[in-house]
Amino acid sequence: MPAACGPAAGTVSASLAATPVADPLVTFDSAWTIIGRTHWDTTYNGVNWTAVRAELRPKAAAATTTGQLRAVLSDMVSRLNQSHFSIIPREIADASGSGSAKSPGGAAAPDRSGSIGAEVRYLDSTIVIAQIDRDGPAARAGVQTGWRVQSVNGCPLSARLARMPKEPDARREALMAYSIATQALAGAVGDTATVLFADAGGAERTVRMVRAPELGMVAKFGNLPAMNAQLTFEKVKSAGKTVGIIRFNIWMPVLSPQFDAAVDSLRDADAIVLDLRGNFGGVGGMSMGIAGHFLDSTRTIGTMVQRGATLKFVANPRRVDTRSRGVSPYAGPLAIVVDELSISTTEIFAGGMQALGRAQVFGVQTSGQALPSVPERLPNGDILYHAIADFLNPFGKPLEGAGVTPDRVVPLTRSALLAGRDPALEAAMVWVLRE
Amino acid sequence: MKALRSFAVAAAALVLSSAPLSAQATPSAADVLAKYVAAIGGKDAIMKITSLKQTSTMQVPAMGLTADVEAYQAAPNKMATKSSIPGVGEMLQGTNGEIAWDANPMQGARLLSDKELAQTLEGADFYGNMLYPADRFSKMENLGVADFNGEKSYKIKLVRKDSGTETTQYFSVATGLIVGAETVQQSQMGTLQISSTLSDYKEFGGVKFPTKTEVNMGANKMLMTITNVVINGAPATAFDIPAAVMPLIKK
Repeated sequence: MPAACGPAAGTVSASLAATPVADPLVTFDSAWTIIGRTHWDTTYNGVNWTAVRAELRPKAAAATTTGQLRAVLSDMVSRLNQSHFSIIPREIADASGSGSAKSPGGAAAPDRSGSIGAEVRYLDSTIVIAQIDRDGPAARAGVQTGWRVQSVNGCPLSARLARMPKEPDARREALMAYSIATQALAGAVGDTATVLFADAGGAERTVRMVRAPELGMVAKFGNLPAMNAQLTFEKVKSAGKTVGIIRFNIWMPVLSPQFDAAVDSLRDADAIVLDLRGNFGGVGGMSMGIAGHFLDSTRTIGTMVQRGATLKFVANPRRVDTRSRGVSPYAGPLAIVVDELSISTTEIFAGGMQALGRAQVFGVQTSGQALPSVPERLPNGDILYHAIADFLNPFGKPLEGAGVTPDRVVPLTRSALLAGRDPALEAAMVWVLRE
Repeated sequence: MKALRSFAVAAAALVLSSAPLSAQATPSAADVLAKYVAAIGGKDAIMKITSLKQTSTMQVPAMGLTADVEAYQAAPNKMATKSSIPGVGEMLQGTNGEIAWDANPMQGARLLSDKELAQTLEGADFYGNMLYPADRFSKMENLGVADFNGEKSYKIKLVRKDSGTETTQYFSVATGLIVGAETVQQSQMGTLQISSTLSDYKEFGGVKFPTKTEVNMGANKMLMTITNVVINGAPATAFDIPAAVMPLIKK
C-alpha cells in the first residue's frame, strides 16, 4: 500500500492543523457561548451544556496546536448529537474553490477542484459509480455505471471504509462513505487518477483519467466553503408527452436565475421532474422561491422554530417570468426524486411540497439532517457551523432524524446501474406520464 | 426696578420650590421628541430636505455576508432600497407611496399587503419619522429613564395610528439623540422582535444621522454602516416600480 494511503482529509485534519494555537480558550469560550445563546432548545437536546464546558474547557486550554483545538471543539459540538454542528477549518472555508488557495495563515488547502466526472453511491458496503458526466474523463475512458471503485492511485477504498466509525443509521453511513470516496477521487485539475474498478463481471479494470474541472460554477456564500453549483435541465419525450427534468446539486442563490430560466423553458411541458438526489442543501430561503414556481397560491412549506421566534417558510406564487412578463406558476404534475444524500434544504423543500400535496416523491428516505444553521466565524478564524432552529413540515412534524419518506420507495441497486437503468427516475416518469 | 427684582425673587422662589419636583418628574414624550428634533438639527433644517440618497454597507457577521446598499427616500412617503449581495444578486424593496414591493433573485417578486404594507408605508413616512408629528401616533408615552447599552435614556413608547405598530425608542438624556429602539417587525414569515442600537451620528446637510446601526433579530445580528448621505439626492426614477413587479399590479 502506498505511503499516501492515509485517511482522507477530514474536518479536523486540514493543513493548518499542526500550527501553534494562540488563546485557545478565547475560541473555545466563543463557540460554547454562541451555541448556548442560539440553540433553540434550552435543554440542548438533553445535554448538560454547562457540564460539557466544564469537562472540555481544560482540554481546550491544554491544546497547543490548531488541530488539537479543533478536535476539542468538534467533540463539544458532537455532544449535541444533532446535524449541522461542525467545525470548518478556516483554510477550507476561505479557499476559493478554483484550485488551491492560501488561507490567511499562509497554508494552502488541498486542491480538490478536479473531478473524474462521475458520481458515486454506497451500495452493499461498496462504492459504486452511479452517474457519469457526458464527455467527462470517466465517460471518455469508458467507465460504466455500476462498476465498483476498488482503489484510487493504489489506495484501496475498502480499507478506508472499514475505518469508518460504526453508525447505526444507514443514511449517515452512506454519507460518510460517499465523503471518503469523493475525497479520494477528487484532486487537482490536470492530475491523473488511476482507478481500479470491478466491472459487471467482477473483472478488475485499471483506468487512468486526467481530472477535469467539475461541471457548473464555483459558488461562495458568506462563510461557507466554496462549493460547486450545477444545474442542468432537459426535455424528455415519452409516450407522446414531454417531461422536463431539472437537476441541481446545491441550493446556492447563483442557481436561482438558472432555475427560473429552466422553468421558463419547460412551461409547455406535460410534467416536470426535479431530481434532487445528492443535493446537500444550502441556502434555506431559496426553497420558498423554487416552491413558488409550482404553487398557485401562497402556501407555507414549513416552519422554522428558533429561540424566541417562529418563522414560516412562505412560498409565493411566481407570477413573473425571467423576462418580466406575467405568467401562471407551473401547474402540471410534479415529481421529486430524492435519496439518502438529499439533505437539509432539499428535505425542507421536498417535505413541504409533499405535505402540501403538490408533488409526489420518489426514491429512498432522505438524510434527516434538516436543521437551519449559520456558519459563524470564531476568533481563531475557523467556522462554527451551528444549527439555530428546528424545522417542522406543514403538518408540524420535525424533519430532523426522520427526513422525507418517499410516496414511492424505489431503492437504487447495482444491478440496475449495470443495466443502465435508473429505477427511481423511471418510477417518477411513469407517474407523471400517467398523471 | 422693584417690580423686576420682585419678579426675579418670585421666579427664584418658584424655581426653588419646584426643584424637588423636577428631580423626580420626567419630561413628556412630546418634550423628548421635540428635544430630539432639535438635537438632530431642528425642524427648519429638516424641512429643507425633500429627499435622501444613502449609501451603506450591511453585514451579517454570523453568515459572513456583506451587502452594498443604496437607499432612497423622498417626501412625503417614498422609499426604495437596492441591496447587492455577492453570490445572491440585487434585492429590491420599496414603495411609491401607494404600493410596496419586494423582489429578490431567490424568491421572485411580490407585492406587500396588510400589516407589511402598512409598516412599509409608515417606514417611508419621510417627515413623520424625523419630526414625530403627534398626528401620526395614537399614543406617545414616556415610560421613564432607563439604561440602554450603558446610556441613560428616556424610554418612549410610540404607537402608530394606522398600523398600530408599537415601538419603544430610547433617547439619550444627555444628547437627546435616539440611541436605540425595540419593535415587532411584521413579515410574511411571522413577527420578529427587533432591537436596534444607533450610534456614530454625523451631520449631512445640517441634519445629524446615525451612521451605525446594530440590529438584533432573535439569534441574528446585522450591522448597517452609512458611508454617505446625499441631501436632496434621490432622483424621481429611484421610486419607479421595478420591471419584475409590474406584472403583479392589477390594471
